[in-house]
Amino acid sequence: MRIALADDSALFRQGLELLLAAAGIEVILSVRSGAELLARIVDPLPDVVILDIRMPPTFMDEGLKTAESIRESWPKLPVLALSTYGETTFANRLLSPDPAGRGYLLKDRVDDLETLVTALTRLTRGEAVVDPEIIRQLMSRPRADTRLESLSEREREVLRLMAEGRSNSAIAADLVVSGKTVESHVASIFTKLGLLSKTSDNRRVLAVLTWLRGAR
Amino acid sequence: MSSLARKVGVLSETTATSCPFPPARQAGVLAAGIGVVSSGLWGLTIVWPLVATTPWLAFAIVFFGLCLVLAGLILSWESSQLMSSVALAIAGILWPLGWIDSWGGGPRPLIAMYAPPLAIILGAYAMYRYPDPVLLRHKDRRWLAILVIWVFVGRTLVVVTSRPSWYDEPELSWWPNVIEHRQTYDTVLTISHTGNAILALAFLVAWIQRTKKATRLPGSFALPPAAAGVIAGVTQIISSLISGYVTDPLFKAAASATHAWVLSLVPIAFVFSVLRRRLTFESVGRLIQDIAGRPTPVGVQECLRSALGVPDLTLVFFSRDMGSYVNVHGTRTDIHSIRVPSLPIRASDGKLLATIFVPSLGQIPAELVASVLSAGALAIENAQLQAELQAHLAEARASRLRIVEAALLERRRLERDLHDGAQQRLLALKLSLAAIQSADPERAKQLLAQARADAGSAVDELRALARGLHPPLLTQAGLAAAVEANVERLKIRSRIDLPTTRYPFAVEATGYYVISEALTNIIRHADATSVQILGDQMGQWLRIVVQDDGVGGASLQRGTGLQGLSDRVQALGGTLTIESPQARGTAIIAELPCE
Repeated sequence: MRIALADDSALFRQGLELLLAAAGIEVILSVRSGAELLARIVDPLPDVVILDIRMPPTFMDEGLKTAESIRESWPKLPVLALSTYGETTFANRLLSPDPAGRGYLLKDRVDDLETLVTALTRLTRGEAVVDPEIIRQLMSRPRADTRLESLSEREREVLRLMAEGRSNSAIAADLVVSGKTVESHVASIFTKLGLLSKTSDNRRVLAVLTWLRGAR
Repeated sequence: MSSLARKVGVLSETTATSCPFPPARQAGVLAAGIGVVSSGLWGLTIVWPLVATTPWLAFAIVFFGLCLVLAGLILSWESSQLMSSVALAIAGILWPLGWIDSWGGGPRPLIAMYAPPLAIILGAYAMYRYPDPVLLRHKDRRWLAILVIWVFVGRTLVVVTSRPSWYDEPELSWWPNVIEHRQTYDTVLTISHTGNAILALAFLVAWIQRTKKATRLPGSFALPPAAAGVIAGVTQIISSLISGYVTDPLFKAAASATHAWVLSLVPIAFVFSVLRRRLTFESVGRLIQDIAGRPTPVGVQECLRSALGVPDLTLVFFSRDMGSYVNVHGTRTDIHSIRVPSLPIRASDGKLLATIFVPSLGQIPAELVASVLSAGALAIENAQLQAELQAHLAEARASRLRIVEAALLERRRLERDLHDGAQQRLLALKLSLAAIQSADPERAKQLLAQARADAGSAVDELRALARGLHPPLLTQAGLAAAVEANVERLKIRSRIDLPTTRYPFAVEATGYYVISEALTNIIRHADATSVQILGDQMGQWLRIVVQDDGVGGASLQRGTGLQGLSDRVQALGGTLTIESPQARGTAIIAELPCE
């Protein structure tokens, strides 16, 4: 796998390159800003672009802007955004309008080589990836809406995995149940939360995230 | 009203005495119309025989009489001028009687002899009482009595020593002649006329002096009558002199006509002046009413606008405390950019209160502006205090906001420092450790060394950051020790003399902050070779001075650093002063309440 990397901390880039090398992943481009990345990215394209969200010049949301530019120029190029803080508003922006091949992870997740490699692999397959920690925070948030509490323990687990961007088959494998069981859980969840069903695995990530963010 | 009147001073006399105009305006106009018409008819009837022979004289006589009556009627609008008004009306009725002898003998020549001087005296009396009857003093009354006596005694002496025919009157007239002696008569006549001329001159001088006194404030109200009075007085003198020596009847008639025309100027000027005064005081009266109901800066500005009839008037107050101008909303204002005619408003003690800016200032009668500003003086002074207070509050609010912003900015900077520094190092450390797990022993050894170095750097950065947040030495050993430790790290010659007393935490922290920021400024901008940091407790105040020998020219306005310092010191209830003459170093002086 070939990676392009943009992060303003040379130290972090160096560490990440080191770690990815250990997993046999090659960093073909390592730059300190989104603008530099867009300027230097060439064919053959990398398999995934890893972006820090906060980069020069304004240190606000340059990573997201870069991701938007990438979506315009190379819609199919997967992007993994890294952030020191888990901000769901950033996750939503990154994943909209099409979450396919878009990932959002916390920075301190990346020393877990297995998680990182899994995320990169899922992205190359066109899946969406949302950091489990962010989903955990969202689901444990106190809210006036009691619909979430009406879900069974199992359904909550399914919801969490959906929000992380897992497909039905991945959820089934994870929970060691059949695909049909997962499907019925999903249908039940959608009914209980009042969401539109019949969405693709990727699209439903956004729906679930939006619901989790909005219904307080 | 009473306190306002006292404050307003000069004007109060005039406003208090002449403000109330009768509300029955229509009735007044009707009465004036009737008065004018009937006095015109009266005059015309008396001089009717002259209309045929010398119509220009007849008309001049009737016209002057009419003017006197009209002036009397209009003057009656001002209650304080009632006596003058009556005097003028009587004078207007008497005046044509001076020519009643044109109808023939009997008592008429005698009436004609006495009526005009009486009319002139009454006119003079009215003039003298205007615009301020209060100023008619005892001395003046005595003087008027002398005038009356002189004129009548003179006339009587002339009559008793002459024959009617010497006056071109029919011999059958009533004429109480006692000695009929031509030489005596000539002498008496000369003395009488010379005396009249002298008295007229004396009257003029007294009148001018009096007018000067009366015109302290609503000045030019008295100016048109004064000018007319001077002209009329001079004419009266000439007329007095001529009538003694000229015998040609036609020449005499021409002189009389000219005399009457010129005298008409006086009542005309009166009417003009009264109307102007009335207009002015109506708006001043309105202003006083309005202002009482709207004692705010904006309200006062509105009242001045309507009183002067200029909607684009701008009132800007001067705050001596702040050394700057403040608009009606209590915001600091730079008046130098306003390119509009302006007029300063001063308090009774002469200190500048405010300035009004009026684009059309030149077109407003000066006396109106002066009266309005006088009448509004107290309200303007109050409004000035209010605006100043508002400005102070706004400054305090702005200062508080700046403190909050500075604190937020500081937190943002901290977050940045943490994020970009220690946090990234720790993340890198995590990555190194992860890499070590999957590395061969030789490589792992290298990576471990790297990881240790990263951990060390992270600790260093956190320590520096923590010290920047709050120097631990300040809490442990006090201001003097913390400042010494801070200065040791700087490459500048320094002398530190701070009290080793321990002060409340907020005082020490603020003092430390002031000194640190001052030092930062010195290193960055002052180009100084040495610095003195001195502290001194005087009673409840800790005075800290940071003096350098650099380029100077620092000020609160230039650069936000010093403003931030000032805000912090003020938040503690202290003051921050900056003395920074060009090229002669900068002294930053903070006075902090320390108990």
